[in-house]
Amino acid sequence: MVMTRMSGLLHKSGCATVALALGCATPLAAQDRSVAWGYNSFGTPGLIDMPSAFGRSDGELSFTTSHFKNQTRNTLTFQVSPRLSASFRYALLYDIRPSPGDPIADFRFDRSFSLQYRFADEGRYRPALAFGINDIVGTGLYGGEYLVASKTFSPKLRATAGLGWGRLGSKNGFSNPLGAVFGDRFDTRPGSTDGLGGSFEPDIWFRGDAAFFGGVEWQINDRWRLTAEYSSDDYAREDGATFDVKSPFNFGASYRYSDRLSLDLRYLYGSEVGIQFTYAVNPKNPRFGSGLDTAPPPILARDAARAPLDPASRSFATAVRRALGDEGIALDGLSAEGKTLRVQIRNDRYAIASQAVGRTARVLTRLAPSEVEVFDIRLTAEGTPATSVVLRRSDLERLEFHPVAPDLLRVNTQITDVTGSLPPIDGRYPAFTYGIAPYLTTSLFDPDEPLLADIGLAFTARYEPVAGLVLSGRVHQKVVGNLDGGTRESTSVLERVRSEAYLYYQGGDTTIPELTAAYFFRPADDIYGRVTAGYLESMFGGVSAEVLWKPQNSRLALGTELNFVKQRDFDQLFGFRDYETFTGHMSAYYDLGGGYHGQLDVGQYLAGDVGATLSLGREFDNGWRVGAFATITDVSAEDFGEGSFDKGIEVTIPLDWITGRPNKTRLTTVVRPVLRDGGARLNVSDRLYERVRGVQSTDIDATWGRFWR
Amino acid sequence: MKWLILAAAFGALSACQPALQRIAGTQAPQQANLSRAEPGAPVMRVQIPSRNADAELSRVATTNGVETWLAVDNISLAFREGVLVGSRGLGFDLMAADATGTLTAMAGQGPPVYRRQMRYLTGDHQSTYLMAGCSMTNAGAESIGGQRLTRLEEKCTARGDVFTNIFWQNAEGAVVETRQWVSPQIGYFRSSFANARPRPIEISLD
Repeated sequence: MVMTRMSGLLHKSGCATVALALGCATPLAAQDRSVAWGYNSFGTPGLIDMPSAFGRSDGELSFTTSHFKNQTRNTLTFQVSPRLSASFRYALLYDIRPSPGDPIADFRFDRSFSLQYRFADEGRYRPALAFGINDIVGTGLYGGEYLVASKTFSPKLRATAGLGWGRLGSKNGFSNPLGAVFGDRFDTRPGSTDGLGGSFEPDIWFRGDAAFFGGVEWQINDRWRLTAEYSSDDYAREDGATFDVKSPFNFGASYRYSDRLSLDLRYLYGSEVGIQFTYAVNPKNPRFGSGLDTAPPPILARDAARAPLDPASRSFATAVRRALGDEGIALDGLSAEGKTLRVQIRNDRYAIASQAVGRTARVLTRLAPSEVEVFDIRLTAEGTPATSVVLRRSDLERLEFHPVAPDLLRVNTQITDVTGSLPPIDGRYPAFTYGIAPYLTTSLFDPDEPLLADIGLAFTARYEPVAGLVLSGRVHQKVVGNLDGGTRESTSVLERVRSEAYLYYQGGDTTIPELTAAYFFRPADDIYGRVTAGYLESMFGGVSAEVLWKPQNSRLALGTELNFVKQRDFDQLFGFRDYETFTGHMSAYYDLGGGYHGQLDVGQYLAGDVGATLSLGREFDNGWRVGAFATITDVSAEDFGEGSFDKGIEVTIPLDWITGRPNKTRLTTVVRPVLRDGGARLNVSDRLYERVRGVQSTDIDATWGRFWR
Repeated sequence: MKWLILAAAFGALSACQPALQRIAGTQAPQQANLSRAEPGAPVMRVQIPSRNADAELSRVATTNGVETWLAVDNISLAFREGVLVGSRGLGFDLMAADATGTLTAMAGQGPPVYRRQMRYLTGDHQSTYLMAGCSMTNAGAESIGGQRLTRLEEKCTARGDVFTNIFWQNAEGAVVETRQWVSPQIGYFRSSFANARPRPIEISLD
């Protein structure tokens, strides 16, 4: 089950309008010595079917699809750190024996999650060394573990040798060498006991017979690479059913079309031809560099500023509002006092707050009377004041083209928490905006129907009678789609809070996913508050209240959210069903450093179960995020059903990263192997942590260089 | 036959027109900017081969001896006495650069090898610096567009990048034509002043 949502200003969820541009040929970057040259058929860094010890470049996210006779593997792999890579894979297998020796099954849909860790880098003589586990939580079809060594002999030649267990120890296997070290229990590999899948079975890993594998790679030039390998996988489940294994040797040719796109053609096991497509992006390398945002208004030195207006006058506020409006920034409030000019702004355009502050400062240098020396630019979150950035005007005039301007400007700049609003300018409230945008809702990995999707139009409206109070709604009109084709009836023994999603998809073509009144406020320093009431999400309505403690520059933030909700009718209009419940969480958010972030939520979930969710993610300062989460509650694995517990992967891509155009929208996709009722959380919009973080000093300082963009 | 040639020439000219308007190539303008050309300001012609772009720029601001020039689609270039110190809107922009060493060397002073510091933004919005070692040589006189100019070549090396900036000075010592390097991804652009370039207006802040 996948939910795609956008968290933009007007389009809060369900909408995605993006196609990743494929393969524009760009100059090919020089190969890094520690980086694997390609991905194998399991979508992990490696040769053809076998792994290698190298990883991919730090942060790279890849999608591979690999096909040969009766089987297709689709894999998403993330290079979590320079040493660690993680993959989520789903495979479509026809005519396969679920276990060696079993009768042949027509079709299997298999999901697996794998990890590879390089524990030693390549040295002058020492090869790079890594170990990997191919099916950590899953049904075990691809269960296998390995220890692998790879060595670069020249910039064009690499060799790999390894020892495999499980599936990777099935061809010419010998008794487990680990048995001699750790005892007899390593000699036999127990059968998988897990019918539901989704549970860890570490007592299987590295057990049973082991076998050697290996291969060589020859990088002919920038674009072509040849690979040969000896496979230690005897394909016992597939041999004679799916295809015939005639030889353990595989041969491949790879063609790199661009930095992102490559193709592989292979001759496998002496009998089959395989093809693979790989699309890999690195969040650190957007196509458009720092973006195609138009030039900012040049800073004007005071003497050059034209006929200054009285800062207390209405015409001055109007001039500032217009000039900021040209930059996509709304002016909420303004006050002038002696040498200080204060403005409270709402940034509707720039994904990075520093840039909005920079453009505001530039505009002020062009309009403020010459006696003004200090600019106090106040950033807001949902209409409430959040952060004050106090700058010296003379620094701006002096530093605009200075080579180290960001550092020099920061010396005299103060970034602090601010709770009081400036007097709103005339005519700021009430404010009304609306929009129409396409939306895409998908449901992937349903065991029966792996790909379901709806496309339609989302109509949004937003009315703000006063600062902080937002009345907003969204109507979806489906245009085309097959989401209503999912007919997998819920067998859940829990309250069916999510497993009847298919009934909601069938509920109607015109729906109201959200219709709410929300109030945002600042009860005290470092504390933010939200109360939302109405139709909160497509399946629940009610009241939601949240308080967040998030000091500037703090790695730690704490929050509490309490919700009283009632289940909505399947037609997603105004009616409710009988089920009502209380759900709420205490949350701790922690910045672990190096871009890694953790979050722990403890509380009661929608089905009344009690437990905790742990989320870990890697974030990039440009807004990319790749993370994973898991929820354990007091619901037993049997009651939970397939998958045993709730878990998933979350990928967030900022829209401006793709288009190069300034935009605050972020596309978030949650991939769950299966969506069930245990550990389900309410999907309320505008949770405070994500709203507040981007306008606080930690984020502003990290991207301070963009002030001048 | 004559008509055919004329028609072809006209066709070629009109095909050039959009390219002349837009320095960023195919990208549409995002919005009107509040920046306006200074009245009576001269015009600069800029070509960026990597963008297949050719545009006319007007001067919109002069601050502390740095002139900011803007194209109609809001791409700007900033120069200190003809030396590029910044670009905006090209994607892989030069956020700022130090022109002191170059200007000193153009005047025939300073050390034979000097440093140029250039600032960029990474794809993750961090400032990143390129420190180039440069040297200036006088390549003699050259005639461009009927003007007799002095050709100065600045050879620079910065990490893996090697580039040569070329400045053409007129008899008064003003830079009137240049070929300069922006960033590894953008490469070179070429600029020329349509009118004789006046001395920059100096504004002192001290």
